[in-house]
Amino acid sequence: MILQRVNRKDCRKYIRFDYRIRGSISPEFVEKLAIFGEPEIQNFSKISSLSHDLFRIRNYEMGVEIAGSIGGENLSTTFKVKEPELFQYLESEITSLLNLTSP
Amino acid sequence: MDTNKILIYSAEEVAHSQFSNIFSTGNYSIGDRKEIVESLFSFCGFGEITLANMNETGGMMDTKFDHYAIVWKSKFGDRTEKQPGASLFTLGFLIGALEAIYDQPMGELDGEQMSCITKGDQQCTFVVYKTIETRNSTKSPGEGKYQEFENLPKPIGTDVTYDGIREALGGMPLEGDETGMINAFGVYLTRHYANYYCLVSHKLIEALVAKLGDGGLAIGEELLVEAGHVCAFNTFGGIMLSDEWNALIKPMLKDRDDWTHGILACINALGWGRWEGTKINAGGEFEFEIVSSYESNSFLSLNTTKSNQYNFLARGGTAGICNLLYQGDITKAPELNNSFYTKIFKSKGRFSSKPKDGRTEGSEVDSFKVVRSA
Repeated sequence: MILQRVNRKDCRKYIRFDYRIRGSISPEFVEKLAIFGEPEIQNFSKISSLSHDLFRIRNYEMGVEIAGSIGGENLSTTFKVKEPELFQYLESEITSLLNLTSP
Repeated sequence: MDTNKILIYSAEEVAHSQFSNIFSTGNYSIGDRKEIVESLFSFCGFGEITLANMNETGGMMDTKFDHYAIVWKSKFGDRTEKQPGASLFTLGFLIGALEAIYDQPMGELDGEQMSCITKGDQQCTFVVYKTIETRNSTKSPGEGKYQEFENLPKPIGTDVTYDGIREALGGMPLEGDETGMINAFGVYLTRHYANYYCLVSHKLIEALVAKLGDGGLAIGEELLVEAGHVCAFNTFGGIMLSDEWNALIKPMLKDRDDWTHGILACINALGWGRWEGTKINAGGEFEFEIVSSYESNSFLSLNTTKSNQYNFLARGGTAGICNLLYQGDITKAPELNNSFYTKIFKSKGRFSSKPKDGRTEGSEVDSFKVVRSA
């Protein structure tokens, strides 16, 4: 499994899933994810050579936020709308994009 | 004992003090003043307010975005019909800001929350009006007995860089969005008045001591340290499970002692003073030192005599760090729920924090020893 779900947080206002990626998140994968919205990048790697840049994509129409560490293995999705079909759709899309961009 | 009044009028005091200071720096029209208040409320993540229909005698204001009401409902659900609204800070803020806008002293206005999102209403509604009898209020202590410090900790044997983390977090755009809310690190944040917390806890202790004698201090201490535990659990816990943590800090961390440095580095970016772990798991011992703790800065100005006993948040926070990491193991990304809280804060072997040295006893800093219960 290239995308492993490691945590699920159910809140009144949102649901968040935490994933671990096999390998690491590449800049190309983040570029592909832009179909869901423009990534905002926090350049944390300039702070320390150990740190990763953080990307965050907010799609207000879908009520979804995708975030993760570029070069790291952590990815999260947060949903304002609690629709299992939407969770599955996004998970499947992310997995496809990971497969497309993994070396 | 009316704790709601403590929460409302402490907000009035900090807002009135701040805006009176701001307005004294220039020749601002009433419209300018209202705009400054509205903008600052939103910037700080308190929500959204409009003062267009308010004047020197008060008025009515409603909003769909109020931090306290939204977060209360999100965390606890709806309030009962008999309970007041949850937006006590906002009500006090409105009272104090309006008094300052019209150059009135504190205590001239009062108000009520008429509707609240936590009670099934679509919005929060506030009414502010002239009081029949003016209240005695005191000016907020401002910076209080602030201590200057130059360097952040530079611990040996860890890759955690306190300076870098503060620079990164300080540069993040943590300000209210179009609704006046700040949603970051997995929690709703505010840029809050340090003195609000200090005034509330100081007045709570005073009221408890007035009612119960010396026993009131022990009860208040227990309540406020427990509030510090809850704050640490949600705030520090939320930070250590956040996307920002995963990207910026987690790659620097090898073990739980490193995680302690990581969260201390974040705390040093919060404006809570200079926090340092002087003993981190050294033979199982933990000690922390704070320069310019906002609690003692404020309490020393309020002429209390036991400042280190008043570092309630710091005590709850330092114990919270140890419980999150060494009693529980937040490095394994558990869910932050009631069950995990009980497991780490209420179980055998949990950590608690005791004052060690205090600024009122002649020490330069406040320090704390965190020990496991038997």
